[in-house]
Amino acid sequence: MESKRYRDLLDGIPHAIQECDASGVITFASRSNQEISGFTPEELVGTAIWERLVAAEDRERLREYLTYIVEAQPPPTPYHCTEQTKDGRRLELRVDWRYRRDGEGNPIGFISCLTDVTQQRDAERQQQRTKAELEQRVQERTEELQSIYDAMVDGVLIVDVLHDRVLRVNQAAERIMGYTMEELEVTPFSRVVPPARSQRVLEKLKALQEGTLKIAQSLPCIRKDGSEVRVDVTGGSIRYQGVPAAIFFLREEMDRDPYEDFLLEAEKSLPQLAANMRDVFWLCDRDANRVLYVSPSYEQTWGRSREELYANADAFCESVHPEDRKALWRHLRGSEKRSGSHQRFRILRPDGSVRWIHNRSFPIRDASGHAFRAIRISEDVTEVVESERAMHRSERLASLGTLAAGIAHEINNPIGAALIAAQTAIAVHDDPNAKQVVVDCLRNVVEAMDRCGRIVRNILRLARDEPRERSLECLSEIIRHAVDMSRESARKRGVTILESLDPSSPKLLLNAMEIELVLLNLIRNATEAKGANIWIRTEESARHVRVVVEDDGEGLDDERRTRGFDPFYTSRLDEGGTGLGLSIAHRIVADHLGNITLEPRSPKGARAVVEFPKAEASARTGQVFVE
Amino acid sequence: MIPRFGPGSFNLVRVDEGERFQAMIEVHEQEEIPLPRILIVDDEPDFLRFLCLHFERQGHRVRVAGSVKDAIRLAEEFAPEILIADWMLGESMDGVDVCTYLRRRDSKLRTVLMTGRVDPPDFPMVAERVVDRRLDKPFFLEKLDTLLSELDVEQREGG
Repeated sequence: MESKRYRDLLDGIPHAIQECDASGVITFASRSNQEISGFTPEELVGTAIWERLVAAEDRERLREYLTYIVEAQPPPTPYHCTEQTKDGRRLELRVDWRYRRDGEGNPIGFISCLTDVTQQRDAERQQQRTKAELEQRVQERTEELQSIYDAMVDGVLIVDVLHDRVLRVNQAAERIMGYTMEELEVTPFSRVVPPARSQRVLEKLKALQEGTLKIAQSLPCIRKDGSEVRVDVTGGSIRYQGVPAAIFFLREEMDRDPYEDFLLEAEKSLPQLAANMRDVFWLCDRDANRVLYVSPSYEQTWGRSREELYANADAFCESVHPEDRKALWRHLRGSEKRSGSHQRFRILRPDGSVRWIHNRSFPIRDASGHAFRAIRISEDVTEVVESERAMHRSERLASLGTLAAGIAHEINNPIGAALIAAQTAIAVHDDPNAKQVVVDCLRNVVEAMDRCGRIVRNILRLARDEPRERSLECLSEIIRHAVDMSRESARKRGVTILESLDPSSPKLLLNAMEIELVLLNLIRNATEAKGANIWIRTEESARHVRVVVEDDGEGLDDERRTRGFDPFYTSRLDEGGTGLGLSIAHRIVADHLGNITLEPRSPKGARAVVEFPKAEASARTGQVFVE
Repeated sequence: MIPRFGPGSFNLVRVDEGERFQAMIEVHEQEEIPLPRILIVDDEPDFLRFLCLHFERQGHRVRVAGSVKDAIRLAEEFAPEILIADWMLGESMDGVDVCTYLRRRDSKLRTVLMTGRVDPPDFPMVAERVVDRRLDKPFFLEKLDTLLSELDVEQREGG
């Protein structure tokens, strides 16, 4: 009864119980063996325990082990083994065992408790494989990140925001900061970035704790050696190793090559620019002087097709006004070596109209400095030229008006005198005693009429509308004319004009009328300076001829010295000055490639100097500007 | 018509200031209604000379001045009734200034301003009060005579 109870108890537990003798032959097997291995207790009893084992070496090892434990009797420890079930499945077992001893304590056999751990072991192995895989992946990823870190040009800096501690840096950060990685990792962030700035950044990051704050600013950083380096910092807040942290990307502010930026920019915008601008943009081959590109506006301005221009190398030259070709050609050849020169010329359009073009040229150089391309920018300035001419005319009319008022006075006086003289002569002509009176009267009439005639001639010369014609003129003669015209008004102001002119001075390429206007203006200014004398003389140097007009009047204040040539500046507004005289003079002289200066004269008075290049020089360069 | 020369004789060969045409003046002083005394100021000597001759032949007593200074001095001693002045005298004082100055001393003085200027907007405000007639050059002597007789009439009616 008792034995049956024990047998049932043994059969009820989920582990298989086996009993074997000291030689390993099974003497008892519980019922649960069948559930685990498929073998019935009857099949098991009488077989050796190692016969169940799958691998031959396991069987051998178990036999040896059995011998060892029978002889040495070590304390029993559980072991694992692999068997086969009756239907051929692999079975992994955990074996717990105890000795069976006789009354004297000698081992006579073993009791084993077999547990099926197949599933458990499988799961363990699976877990191990997964773990190994994960570990490998992490390893790979870490190496990847590290190499990215180290290859980055930007520095990476991860900072523990709560403890103001640098957690991680990369090599670039080391280089930028001048600290090694180890040093940085023990350096407070606030020592790397000036506290005022770092505190603000950290405060912000702390307040936000985690997530979204992003910064982008230029920060000064203090290197280990104390020097300061400006860095562009971008970054945001993250969690790093479980703590709130900030990651910063540091980029040194590098001296970028501005030309490179420009090129990049230009490359993008040039085609658009060329296509949209009103000016005509040209790219020419310097050596062959062939047009490589011309912008679409060429067709509007020139009234010709671009295809024609590309096809025919002479098309450009043919479109230029014949009178301007030579000068333009000279300009292009010169300017495409030098930078930024400009030139005005006319073009003839197929419809017969003439347009004024203002051309600027620049050479493009290769690395060796050789100008291999030329850029031209041509602007249609016809309207500008026309309005300049209109302006010129109105300026001249304005000065003529001023002049005419003064001249009328000059003329009315002699005519008035002559009229009175003539009437007197008529009144007394038959009085034999009044013979001398008649003679005096007639002489007065003659003189007055002569004076009138001269003045009228001069006015006509001034009024003639042919300002651009230039011819070789004797400067002294022009000066004499101007002096003649001015002498009377000077005399009335008590001013004497003393001239010392060199009649043999070389002839200059001048517009006589314009230059006379200049001199009239200068003499009038000198006359009105409230002095007693005006000196006019000519001087000659190797390349220039100068006219010097001096007075001993009240001289120049600073304002008159600097503003004298400004249009509409006048110091004699109350006396009817228009303020145009000197500005016109200045422009006329500049047109003649000359120069005009005002300076104080010692001990008192003022000096105006007008300088002209000698004929040859002015003829050569002057032609460029002939309109 | 050019006024005919009156009785008496004159000598114009020498033209000395203050003494010239003395003979002629004496002739006219005998007439019943003495013609107004005229002072002429101009910086053109010929002009002065011919105007002087013209008025003296009419029987006026005339003094001529080539400068402002002379004009003021002569006005003191001569007490002219009519002043004929050129506007532009090439001095710091011009014809208008002379008119203003002399009119202040003698409010009955009638004034004629001769001018060769063609810009009437410049005619100063003060001139409106001190200049009775403006005479643009060139002019015929008759025009001057007309202006003088107008002034004479005004003077009589006003007086």
